[in-house]
Amino acid sequence: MVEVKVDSVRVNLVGSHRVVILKDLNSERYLPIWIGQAEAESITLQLTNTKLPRPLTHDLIVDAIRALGATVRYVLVNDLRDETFYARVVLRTRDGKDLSIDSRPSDAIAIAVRVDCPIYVDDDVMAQHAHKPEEESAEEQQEEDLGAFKDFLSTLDLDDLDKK
Amino acid sequence: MIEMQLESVRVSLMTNSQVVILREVEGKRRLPIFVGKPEGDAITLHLNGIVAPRPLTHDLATSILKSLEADVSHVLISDLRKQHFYALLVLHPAGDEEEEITLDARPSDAIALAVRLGCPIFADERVLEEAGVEPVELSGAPDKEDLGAFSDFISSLDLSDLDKDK
Repeated sequence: MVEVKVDSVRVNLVGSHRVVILKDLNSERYLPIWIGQAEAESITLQLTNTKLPRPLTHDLIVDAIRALGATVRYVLVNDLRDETFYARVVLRTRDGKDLSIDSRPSDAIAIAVRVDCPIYVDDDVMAQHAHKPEEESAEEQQEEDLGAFKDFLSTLDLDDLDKK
Repeated sequence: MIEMQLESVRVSLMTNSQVVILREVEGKRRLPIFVGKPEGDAITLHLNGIVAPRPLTHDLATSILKSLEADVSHVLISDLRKQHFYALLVLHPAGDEEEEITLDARPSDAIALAVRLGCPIFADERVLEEAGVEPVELSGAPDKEDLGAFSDFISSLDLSDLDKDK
């Protein structure tokens, strides 16, 4: 199991897709997981410490777990089949018994950020589906980043700038 | 506390918002509650017997409550303040009838869980008095005046060439 943290939640501006990016705590590997809009909002609101007047569904789940004397030990993204990620929420009951409950990764992550428990990804899932940022020399990158501005500058007609 | 049953979930085509209609079990009053789209969908999908390939958030909440052997006795629409409904989830820990836990919830979440757990839904009498609506009873034949728009429309039709359509 590889421990990860939530790196970011990103929005696709066309369409309502959201993607949560999990980062390996010990190396530069990133695992993107597509999630629903409601779950993305729930994760984002918690990470930005936004307090809502009424509890969201994930707040209610966490309240219920705590009120019943259980704790969330960790959550695990354990599988990827047919382009669908699978996860488990692992609870410890009041009597010290461990329970592993089937979940979507989005719900598991929304719970994890609320109780501040570790998030793990299965080794194979991480090895097969995580991305490493492409190595690019800093200078090359900078040139490319500035391309749009250069293009814009060259279109300007500056001849009549002082004729006022 | 008045027992309610879920009558319908309605969708406003203009705004995309959804309304859950609860109906008094022993009476005629209805309680309409606006809910968010994901929660409205969660209620509708379950009522239609549609099982999503992966558990929805309320399915997860249900399996967590069941795994922890919590006994959810009922949900209660408990309050209405500043146009916001409040609800409670009332449950007992495993094998402990004495201890009662009440959890603050939005009505939409409470109802989505109630339909999954098969527990009763109650509303506070004061909430029903304030926000309950009774359907208007229609009696006898409709008034001529009510049909005015239809008569006007019919009289505007030119029916003379109705059979000349070929």
